[in-house]
Amino acid sequence: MSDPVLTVDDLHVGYPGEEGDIEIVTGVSFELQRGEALGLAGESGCGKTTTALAIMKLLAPGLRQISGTVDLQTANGVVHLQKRTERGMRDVRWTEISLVFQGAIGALDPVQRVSRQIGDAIRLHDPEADRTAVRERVKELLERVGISGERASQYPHEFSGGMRQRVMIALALACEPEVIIADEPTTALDVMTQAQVLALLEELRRDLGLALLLITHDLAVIAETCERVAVMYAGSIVETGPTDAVFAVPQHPYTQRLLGAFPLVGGERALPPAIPGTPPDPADPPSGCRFHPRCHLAREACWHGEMALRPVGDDHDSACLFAPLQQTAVAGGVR
Amino acid sequence: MAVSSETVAQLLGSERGPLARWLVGAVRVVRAIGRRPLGAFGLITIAIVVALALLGPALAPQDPLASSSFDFANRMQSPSSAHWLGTDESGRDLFSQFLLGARVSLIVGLVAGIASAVIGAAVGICAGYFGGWADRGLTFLDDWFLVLPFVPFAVLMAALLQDDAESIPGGQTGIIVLVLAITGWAGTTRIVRAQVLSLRERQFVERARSQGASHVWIMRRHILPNVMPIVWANTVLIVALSVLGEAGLSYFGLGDPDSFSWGTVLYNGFQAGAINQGAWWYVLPPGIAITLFVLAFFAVGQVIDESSTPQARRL
Amino acid sequence: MPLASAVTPLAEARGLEVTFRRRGRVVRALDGVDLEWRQDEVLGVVGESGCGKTTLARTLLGLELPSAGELRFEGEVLDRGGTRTLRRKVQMVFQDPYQSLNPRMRVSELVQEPLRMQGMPRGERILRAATALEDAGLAPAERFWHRYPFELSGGQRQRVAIASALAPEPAGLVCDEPVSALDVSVRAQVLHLLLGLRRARGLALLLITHDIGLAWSLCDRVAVMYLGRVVELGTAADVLERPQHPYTQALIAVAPSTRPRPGGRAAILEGEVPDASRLPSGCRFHPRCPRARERCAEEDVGPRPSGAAGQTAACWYPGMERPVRAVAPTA
Repeated sequence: MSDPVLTVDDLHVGYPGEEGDIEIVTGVSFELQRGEALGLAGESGCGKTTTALAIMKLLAPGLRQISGTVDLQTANGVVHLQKRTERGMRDVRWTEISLVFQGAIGALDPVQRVSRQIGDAIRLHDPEADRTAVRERVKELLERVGISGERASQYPHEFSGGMRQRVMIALALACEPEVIIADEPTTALDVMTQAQVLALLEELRRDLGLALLLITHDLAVIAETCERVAVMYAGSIVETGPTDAVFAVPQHPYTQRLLGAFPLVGGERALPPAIPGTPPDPADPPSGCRFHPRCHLAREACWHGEMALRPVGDDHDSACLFAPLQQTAVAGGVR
Repeated sequence: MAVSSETVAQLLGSERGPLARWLVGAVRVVRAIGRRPLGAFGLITIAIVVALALLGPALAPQDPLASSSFDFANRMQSPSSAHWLGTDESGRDLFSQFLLGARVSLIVGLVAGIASAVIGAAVGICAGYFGGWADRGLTFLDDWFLVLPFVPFAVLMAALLQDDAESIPGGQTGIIVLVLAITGWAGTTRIVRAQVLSLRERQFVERARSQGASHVWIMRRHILPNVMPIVWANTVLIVALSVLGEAGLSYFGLGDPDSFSWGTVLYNGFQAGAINQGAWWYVLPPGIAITLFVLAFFAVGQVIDESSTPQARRL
Repeated sequence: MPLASAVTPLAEARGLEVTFRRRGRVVRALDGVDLEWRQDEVLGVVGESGCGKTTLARTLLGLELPSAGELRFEGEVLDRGGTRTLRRKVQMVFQDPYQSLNPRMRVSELVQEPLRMQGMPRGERILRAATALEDAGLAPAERFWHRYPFELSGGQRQRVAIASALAPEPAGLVCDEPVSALDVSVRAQVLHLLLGLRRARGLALLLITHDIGLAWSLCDRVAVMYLGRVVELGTAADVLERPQHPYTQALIAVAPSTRPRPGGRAAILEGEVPDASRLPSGCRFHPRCPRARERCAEEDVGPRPSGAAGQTAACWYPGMERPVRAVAPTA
C-alpha cells in the first residue's frame, strides 16, 4: 500500500555555464514511503548530497533547481516544496523534514552550548514555549539519543565524534518531523560507534514512525539500514529496488562494480577488479549513458539516446539497456 | 623497471633553475596584480616612485645640499618656469628636493620594511614551529614589542643614539631604519606564528618528517613557502608604514638633517611657516606623494595574497 | 601457511611499549605489543581510534622511540641512531591524499624530496623519481612531472604519495587507511597498485584499516588492536572467520555487509573506547565485554594460543561459545 511522504519527480539541479546550465542532478525521481528507509547510494560528485540540499532548499548560492517537483505529505496536506519561498520553507524545515548534515563538527556551532542549539530548534516550532518546558524537552531528546541529560550544558567540542553525531540527530528530531534526511551520518566514525548510531536511527524510526532518506557511498551501511536503495551515478539514478534484491543480483553494471568494493568476509579472498577511469565532469558528460566509458558491457547503443529507468523485476528498476542481467555481483561472495 | 635514459635527460633539461623559476613566478604574480584595477594603480604608482628614486639625482636641476643652491633673494617663491615647485626658505629648488625625497623615502621604507619582515617571519616561524618554551619566550618578547608606542620609543632611540650617529651605518638615516625595524617586526610575527601553528599539524609536514626530514628542512621547504604569501602581503604593508613612519619621524625633527626625504621637506616646510604663508607648493607635493605612495602599497598588498597560490598561477 | 620462517622478519616487536605524557597524565599508547612484520606479506592492523595503531605505525617508521620492550629491525635492536636508517627502509602512505601533499610543491619535487634528504645526486634522483612515478601508475612520467597536486584527482594524488614512498626503495610500506579518503570506484585501482608493487618489489606491507572487508580481501595475517595491545593475531581467514577474542567477534559482527546477517545488533558494545590514560583494571576490555567474569576484572591477560595454529587471543575465555553473564563495568 503506497503512502509516500516525500515524492521527488524529475529533479534537475545545476549552475549556469557558458552554454546553458550545467546539471549536477539530471532528472532524479523517487518516492519515500512513510516509515520507510531509502538509501541513496553513490560516490562523491554523483549528486546525492545536492539532491538532499535541493529538497531542503539549502543549495549553495551558485546552484539552483532548474526543474522538477518535490512534494511533502504533511498533516495539512501536500506541500509543494519547490514552490515555497524561503519563508515558507522555514515553516517546513525541521518541523516536517530535517537534515542531519555530513560532518557534525562543522554543523554544530562551536561557541553555543548544545542545550541552546537544540532549544533554538524547539522554539522554531513553538515560539511560545516556556523555558522550563524547553529545557525538559532538550533533556528528553538527548536521553532519546543515548546521551545523559546532564550534558546538555556542554559545548560541541566536549563530545566525541559519535556523541556529536547523536546530538545532530537529537537536533533533527527536535520538532518531530516526518522525514529525516541523513547525509553520510556515520562516515567518520569507528565501526562500533557507527553500529551504535545506525541502531539508534533504526530504533527511532520504529518508535516514531519516521521516514529516513540515508545518503552515503557505503553500500554496506545501506544494506544494514534500508529497505530500498537508489543507486546514483553522474547525476541520475541508475538502479532502484529492494536492498536485498539489488545487492544480491544487481541489474546495472555500475552497481555490480560498486559492490565489488565491499567484499564479504567469508567470500572470495581476492581483490575485486577495478573500475577503470574516473567519474565524469558534469560540464562535459559522456553522451547517452553516462557510465558507458567505464562499463564492461558497453556497446554502441549505449552512447546514443537517453537512458531511462525501466522495470526489470519486482519493484526493481534499472537504467541499463541490457537489463535484466543474470550475472551476480562481480566478486561478491557466497555466505 | 627503470625509465629510459632519454626520459631522464628530457626531465633534467625541462627543469629550470631556482632563480629562473622564481623570476617567472614573480612576473606572473606582477601580471596577476596588474590585471586588477587596484593592483594596476598600485604598481604604476610604485613604478613611478622607483623611477624617480633612480633618476632623481640625474634629473634634478639642483643639488639641495650644495651651497650653490642657496639663494636667499628668491626664498619662498611660488612655482615658476625656473623652479617648477617653487623655492624653499633658503631659496633652494623644491622640485629637486622632491625628486631626491623619492629616493630617501623609498630606501628607508624598503630597508626598514624588509628588515621587519625578515625578523618578524623568522621569530614567528621559530615560535610557531618549536612551541614550548621557545614559543613562550618569543611570544612574550613579541607582546612587548607589539605594544611599544612608536613615537615615544622613536624619540628615545633617536635621542640615545644621536651621539653615535657616525658609527652607525647610514648615519642618522640608519638610526631611523633601525627604529622602524625594531618597532615593525612584532605584527608580522603574530600573523606568521598563527599560520605556522596550523601548518605544522598538516599531514604533509608529518609525511616529510616520516621520510626523515630535519627541523630545518621542514621549516625551509614546507613551512616557509606556505607562509610566504602572508609574509609578502604583510611586508608590503610594513614598507608602506615604514615610509609613513619615516615621514613622521622627520616631521618631528628626528630625521636626518643632511638628507632630503619627503618627510624632511615637510618638516622644513612647517618650520618655515609655509602654512601661514600660504606656500602650498612647499608642503602639498611631498604630502600627496607620501599619501599616494603608501596607498599604492596598501593597494598592492590587498591584491597580492590572492594572486600567489599555485591555483592562481594557472589563471 | 609456512612454518616458523627462516627469513628474518622485517620488524619484530616484543613487549613494545610507547608512553606519552599528556597534560600530566601518562598515556600508554602501546602497552606491550608482540608482533612480527614479515617480508613479502600483507599484515593487517585492525582497530578503532585510540587502539594505538597510529602509534605503532609511527614507531615502525622511527618517529617514536620505544619506552620499554624491544623493537628489532632486520634482526638488529633499534636504538636512537638506528631510527635514521629506518626512515629510509620503511615508508608510509597516509590516509588523505588531499592533505598529505604540500600544495606548493610540484610532483617532481614531492617525489624527489626523500632522495634529496639523502643527498642523492641529481641525475640518479631523477631516474629514481621518474621510475617510481611510473611504477605508481603515473606514466609517462613527463606528463605529471611539473604538475601541482591541485591539478590531479584524488586517486592520482595518492599515486604521487605512493611514488614518493617508493623512491627511496624501502623494504616495507606502512599504509594508513590508504583508500578510505578516495572515491569508491577508485579504491580498487590503488589497492591493485599496492599489491602489484608488493609482488614486483618484494615489499612488506602493513595495512592499517578499520574496514573488515578490506582486511579480508587484502591481508595475509591480521592483528586486532585494542587500547595499546594486540588482542588477536592470526591469518586473515582464521581471525576474520573464526575470531576467538570477544572484541574481534563484536567488530566483525557489527561491521556492515552488503549481505546482512542476523545477530549483528546483538553484538553492539556499550559505550566507547576508554581513554588510554585511564586503563581499566585487569583485562582492558572487560568493562565492555559481554563474556567478562571475575578473573577478567582482576588479572591482565596477554596473547595466548587459541583457535587455529599460530592464532592468539588476549582473553581468559576465548572461543566461539555464547557469552556468559556480564560483569558490572568498572568506572
